[in-house]
Amino acid sequence: MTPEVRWQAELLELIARQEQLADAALGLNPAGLAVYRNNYRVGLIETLNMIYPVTRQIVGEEFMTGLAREYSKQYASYSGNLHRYGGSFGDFLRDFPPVQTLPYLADVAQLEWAVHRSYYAIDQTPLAAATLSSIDPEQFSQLRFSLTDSSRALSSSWPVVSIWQGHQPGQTLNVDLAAGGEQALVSRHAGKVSVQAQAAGMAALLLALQDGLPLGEAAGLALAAQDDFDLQAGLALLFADGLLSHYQL
Amino acid sequence: MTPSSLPAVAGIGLRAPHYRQVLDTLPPLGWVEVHSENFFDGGMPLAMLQRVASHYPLSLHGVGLGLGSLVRPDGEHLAALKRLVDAIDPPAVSEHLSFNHSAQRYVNDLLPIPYTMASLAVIASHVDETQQALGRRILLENLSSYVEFPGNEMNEGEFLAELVARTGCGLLLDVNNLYVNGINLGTDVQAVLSALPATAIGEIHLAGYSEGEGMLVDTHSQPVHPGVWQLYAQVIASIGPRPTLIEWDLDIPPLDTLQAEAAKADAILQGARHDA
Repeated sequence: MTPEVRWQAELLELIARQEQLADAALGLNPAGLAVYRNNYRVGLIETLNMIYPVTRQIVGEEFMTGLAREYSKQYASYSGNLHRYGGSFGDFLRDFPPVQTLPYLADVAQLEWAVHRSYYAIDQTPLAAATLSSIDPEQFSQLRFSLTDSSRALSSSWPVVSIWQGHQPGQTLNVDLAAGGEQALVSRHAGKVSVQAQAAGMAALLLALQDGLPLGEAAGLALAAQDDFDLQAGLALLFADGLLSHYQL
Repeated sequence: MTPSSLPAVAGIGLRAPHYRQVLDTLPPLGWVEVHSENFFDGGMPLAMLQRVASHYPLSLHGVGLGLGSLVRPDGEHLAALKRLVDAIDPPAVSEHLSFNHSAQRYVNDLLPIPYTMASLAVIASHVDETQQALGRRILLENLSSYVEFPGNEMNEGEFLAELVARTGCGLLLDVNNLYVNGINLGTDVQAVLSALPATAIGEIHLAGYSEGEGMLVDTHSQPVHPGVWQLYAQVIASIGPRPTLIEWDLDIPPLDTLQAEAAKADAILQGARHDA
C-alpha cells in the first residue's frame, strides 16, 4: 500500500468515525478535519430526513435527528450516490430499543424506502400480455415474472398504508392501530409514485412473484390467502398496470 | 478547440426549488447545470431533465464519482453516469479532482488528493477509463480543500496540467475554490493559475463561501464575494470569455437573485469581448 493510498483510507476513517482523535501523523489541521466531519454528519442526516418524511413526522424533528445520527454511526455509505444511502433504516429501527414503543415504525420506514426507490427507479418497458401468446399454456405454471424496478410489494402486520397516506400533505390521520395489518403495493405511473393497499390474494401473488416463485406456486399462495381470488383477473391487472418487466421459463 | 460546447456566457446551477418555475416560465438563462447523481436511473427526475435540456444548454456536473480515489472507480456509478450522458447528450460533462472512497468505505464529500507522481499515474488512468466509457472528453474541477496531503510534490494547477497533457481532459476552473484555498491553506493562487493550460479551461464556477471556525467554508450559500469577483475578472481578462456558472446550493434564494449574479458575470464577460 503506497503512502497515498494509506492516507486516503485513514482520512476517510477519521471523518466517518467521529469519536476517533485526529492522528497527528496524518498532518491534518483540526479546523479542516472539523469541516469534513460536519459535512459528513449533516449530509447523511439530511439524506435520511429527505427519504423518511413520514417517519420524521411520527417521531418528531429532534428525535429523527438523533435516530439519523445513530444510524449513520452504524451504517456507512457504500456508494458515491447519496440517493442509495439509508436502505437499512427500517431494519435499524426494528432493533433500536428507544423506538420499541412504536412497533409499526420499522414497517413505515420500509414502505418509505420502497417509495424512494420507486421514484428514482430506471425506466423499463412493461411486459405486454401479448408476449405470452408464444408460450405453451402447459408451461404457464412454470413462468417466473419479475416486477419492474419501480414496483414493490410489502406485507405488514400494521396498517402501514393508512399510516403513510394519513401523513401525506393535506391528509388527516385517522388510523385504528388495532385494525390489523395491511399489504402495500408501491408502483409508479407517469412518474408519480402511488402506495395502495391490496386485498390478501393479490398481495400474496405479488409477494410470491417478487420472491421469484413460479406462477403456479404463486397462484396457490394467493388462493390460500383469499379463497375467492380470481387469478385471471389478477394477472390481467398486473399487465394492465405495467407492473411486470420480464419473465423466465 | 474548446473542451465544452456551452456558450461563453453566464449560466446558473438549477436546483430542486426552481425546477417548476423554470419549466413553467422558461426565463432567459444562458445555460444551466445540474448535479448528475440527482438524475441517475429514471422516473420523473430524468423526464424533467430531458425537458430542461430541450430548452437550455445543459451541463452535467458529477459530485460522486470520486475519480481521485486511488482504488478503482465504482463501475456501477460510472454505468449510471453513462446512461444519463447517453440519454441527454449534453454540451458539457464535468467531475471533480477529488476522492470519496477507499476499499472499505465511502464519504460523500469532495476530498483532496495527494498531488504526487504516484497518484498522478493512477488518477490519469481513471480519467482515461471514464472518458472511454462515456465516449467523450470531460472537464475536471479544482477543489476547495481544508486539509492537505503532507507529501505533495506539486501544486493542484501543475497536477491538473499534467492530467490534461496525459488524458486530453478539459478543466473546470472554480474561482471561489481557488480563492478559499488561498485564504485557508495559504495556496499561492497566482502560481496555480499560471500552471493551468488556458486552452483547456472549458468552464468556470463562481459561488459564495461562508465563514466557519478558522476557515472559509465553500458552502455555496452566499452571493459571490468581492475578492472572488476580482479574481474572476483577472482570469477572464487573461484567458478570454468562458461559460461561467453561478452555483448556489444551500439557503437557495429566489431565481431572480441567481439571475442578478449571472448578469454580473455576463457584464465581465462582455467587457472582455470588447477588449479583445
